Amino acid sequence: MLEFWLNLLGYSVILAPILLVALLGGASLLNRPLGERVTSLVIKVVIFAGLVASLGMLAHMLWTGHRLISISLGDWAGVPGYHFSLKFVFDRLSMPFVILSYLLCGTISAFCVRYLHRDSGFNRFFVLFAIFLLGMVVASLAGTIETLFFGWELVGLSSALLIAFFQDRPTPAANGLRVWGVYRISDAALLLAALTLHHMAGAGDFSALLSSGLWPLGHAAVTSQQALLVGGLVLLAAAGKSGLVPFAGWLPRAMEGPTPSSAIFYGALSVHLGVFLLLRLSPLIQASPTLVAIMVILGLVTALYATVAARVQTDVKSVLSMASLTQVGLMVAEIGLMPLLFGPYGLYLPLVHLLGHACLRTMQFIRAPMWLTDHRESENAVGAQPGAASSALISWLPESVNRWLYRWALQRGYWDAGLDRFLIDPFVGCFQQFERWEQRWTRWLDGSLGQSDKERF
Amino acid sequence: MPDNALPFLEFAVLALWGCGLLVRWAGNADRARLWALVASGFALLCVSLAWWGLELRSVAELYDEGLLPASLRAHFLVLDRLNAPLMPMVALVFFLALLMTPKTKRNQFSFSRTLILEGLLLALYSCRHDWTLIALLILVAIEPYRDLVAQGKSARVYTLYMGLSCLLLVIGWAGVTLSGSSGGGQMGVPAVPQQQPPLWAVCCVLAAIWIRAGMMPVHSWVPYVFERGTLGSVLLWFTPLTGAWAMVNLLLPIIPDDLLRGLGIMSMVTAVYAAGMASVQRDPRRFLAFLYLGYSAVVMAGLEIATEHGMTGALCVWTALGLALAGLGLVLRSMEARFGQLPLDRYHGLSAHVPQLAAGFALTGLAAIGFPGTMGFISGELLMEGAVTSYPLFGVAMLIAAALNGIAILRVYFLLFTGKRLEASPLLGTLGSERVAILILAVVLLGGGAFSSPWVQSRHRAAEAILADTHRDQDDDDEEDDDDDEDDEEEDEDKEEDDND
Repeated sequence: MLEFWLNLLGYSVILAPILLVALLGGASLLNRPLGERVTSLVIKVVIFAGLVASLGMLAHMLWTGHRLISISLGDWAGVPGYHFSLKFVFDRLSMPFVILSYLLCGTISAFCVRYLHRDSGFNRFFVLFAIFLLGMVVASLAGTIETLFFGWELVGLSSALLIAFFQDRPTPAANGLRVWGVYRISDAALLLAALTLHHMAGAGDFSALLSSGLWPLGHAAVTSQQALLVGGLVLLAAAGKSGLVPFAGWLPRAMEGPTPSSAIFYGALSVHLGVFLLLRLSPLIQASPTLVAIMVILGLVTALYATVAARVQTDVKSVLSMASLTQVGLMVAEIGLMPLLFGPYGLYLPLVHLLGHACLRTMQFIRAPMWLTDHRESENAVGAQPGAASSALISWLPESVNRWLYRWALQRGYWDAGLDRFLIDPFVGCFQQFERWEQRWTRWLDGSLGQSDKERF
Repeated sequence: MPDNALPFLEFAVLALWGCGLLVRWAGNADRARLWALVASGFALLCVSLAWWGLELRSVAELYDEGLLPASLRAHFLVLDRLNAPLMPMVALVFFLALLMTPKTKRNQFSFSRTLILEGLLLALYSCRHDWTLIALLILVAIEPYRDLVAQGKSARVYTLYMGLSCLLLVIGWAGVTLSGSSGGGQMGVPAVPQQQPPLWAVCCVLAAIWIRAGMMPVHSWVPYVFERGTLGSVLLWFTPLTGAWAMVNLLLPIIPDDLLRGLGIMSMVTAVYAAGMASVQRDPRRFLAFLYLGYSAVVMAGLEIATEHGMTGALCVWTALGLALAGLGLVLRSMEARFGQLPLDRYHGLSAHVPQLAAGFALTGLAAIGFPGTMGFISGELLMEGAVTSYPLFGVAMLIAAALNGIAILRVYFLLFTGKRLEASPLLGTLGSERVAILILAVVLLGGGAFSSPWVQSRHRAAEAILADTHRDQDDDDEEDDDDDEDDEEEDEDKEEDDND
């Protein structure tokens, strides 16, 4: 009987967002979008059910002392020698993250119902929101790296499309495409890591990869070189998803989307998905000291960059995005350092950091449109204006350095400019040249070289 | 020889050809379209039932016991594990194309030629006789030429490339036949050579298929045809990947491993190149052409990997991406019918006018890049798994191609559907028939993604059979060698006895 209820709770946690996507997406495909009231009700019911189920699972685990419960939905597809299994694990890492996902998504959706009332994109927003929730739940509970990849991609797609939500303006679309480009690099790295792990360990199962299977304990049965290769790919994937340097340029661009989606994606959940991946695969990363060093340096450089950049941003959402990035950088560094200092249980620190930061930042993003009002109210309460901040970024540095630092921070580290100059422009230029050669070649073959387009067609 | 309960394939082909001739006297374009839809729908039903029968009976192949004489049944209209899902895929694409043909295109679009082409393709896929296969490949190749000429466009580039391909194919296969290396076969592999054919003949066949499949550097005719032909006809001609079909049936049994590896490398280079080109295009038709080139290259590469997983992945990708790209092309065709040419150098803001087409574009585009939840996802995973196992660089190249294609598709989506809303007074909304077609595509692409296991396993059985057939000679040679060794040992023993005597 107990097992029946346990399975019911577990399946409910997983199936709730699937049901939400099916209802909202299906209605849209049939050109019968649900009205605002019905959408609001459906979202509330489904998210509430998912949250209750996940809290029920947590209560059971605390009551019985179980640290790991696995639910397998079998093989999605398989042939001899290769299986894509859908396996979900409820452990000390996935449970807090999935509860956080449901809690924050429920809060934000309640906010959005009012925020987007009578907006022409109301239905589109909630379809993408449902896809995002599904992606987060699947990624959080993933017991295999392939399942995690499934959720990872859903989060990326919904993120890019929500950045371009205000689609009457070209800038959101351009920024959405930019973010999507970074995500594709990240996805490719994760997929390659998944395939490589599959070959090394014979399976993508996390419990097979990390022998004892109980997070945060675990030992990756791989050599240091293997860990460096696979862990490097995982770190690249996490860097893209979480906006670590040199991919940090996309995060402020993502602020084009509606404020609630900025809150849930870049304050709370999506931006922490990279950190979650590193937490999940921490034993693998710890197997390579070189990789640990790289990760710590990357995290600290990101935090340093973001904290400097945050001080000069000209709009509140950009400030908050940089503040998020500072904390994400610190979390990444913690994941590298804490196990060295405190053993595997040191990983609880970045986890707690993540949970607290997600909640705080969500609140700050939601309050962002009210920032001026809040500021005036606090002035009225205090009875005076707050003291003027120093005009220098770092007062003990010379003025010229401060000026350079100011420009560098305002341009967000020139990361995007660097990517444009050294990667995107050469790529586009090269293929556009190929295109010109191809056109010339076919025109020569059909004898229309020298004719105008009108004459040719 | 197990037979179909009813001669489904004959019904399908005859219905298509019969209606293809009758439609010329339909009187008006709307009636012609209706008759064509009925015939195409009937053909789809027949080939689907035939496939279902094959799976139900769990046999390797089925023959049609209809009008064909018994002596020809093993060579024509044969259903096997390889072609069984491909024929419904082709039939579905044709049906959807007819369903989505907008009114503005109905006078230009030849329903008669479309039905005849569909019949030819079904006959091609179910043909086991090598020279008939080649004749059908040549017949099918005439269609784009006729389309270009009917449009008043120059067909020189197409004629040069495809003419060369057909010529090389005939010469090459003549060389294979004259060397005594061809004959009847099973599992869609008509020739299991008794001896290795001459290298020049193999190279001719290879070059012919290389051109036909649009591999680098002989691919330029593909975007050329996409740009100038009727988009609907071009899609219907390209989607079945007759080049890949020729590869499986004619080339795989005879090609040496070194050449196969070289072909695989060029295929991967083509896939990456095509993905890069797709991401910088300013013309939607050329963008689609390069997506198709990438699709063809990925399937060819998977077939060339010649491992179980790689080949299974290739066969899965063949169906999944074929449907997805055809759907994408049909959406673009509907957009063109409404808005004319849509250059990809500015934002068009069309989402508010045609939200269902926007959703259709997004769905088919995501399926074309193997997005999770769609039919292309598991296919891509299997293919990459096979590639990484056999040739790691192939796997990396495939990942790069997939990433670039994803960027290309979303770029075009944003350019077409976002931006300042187009102000237009006539109604530009989606037609009922277009909505139905997009819904069918959604059900197939998402349903096939969610319940992919039976389909993947059927592709795996087909891959096993292809690999077994292409390695069959080696097993026979090994047995002969063993027999020769035994004979030699007996002779030596006899000789010793004689010496002793």
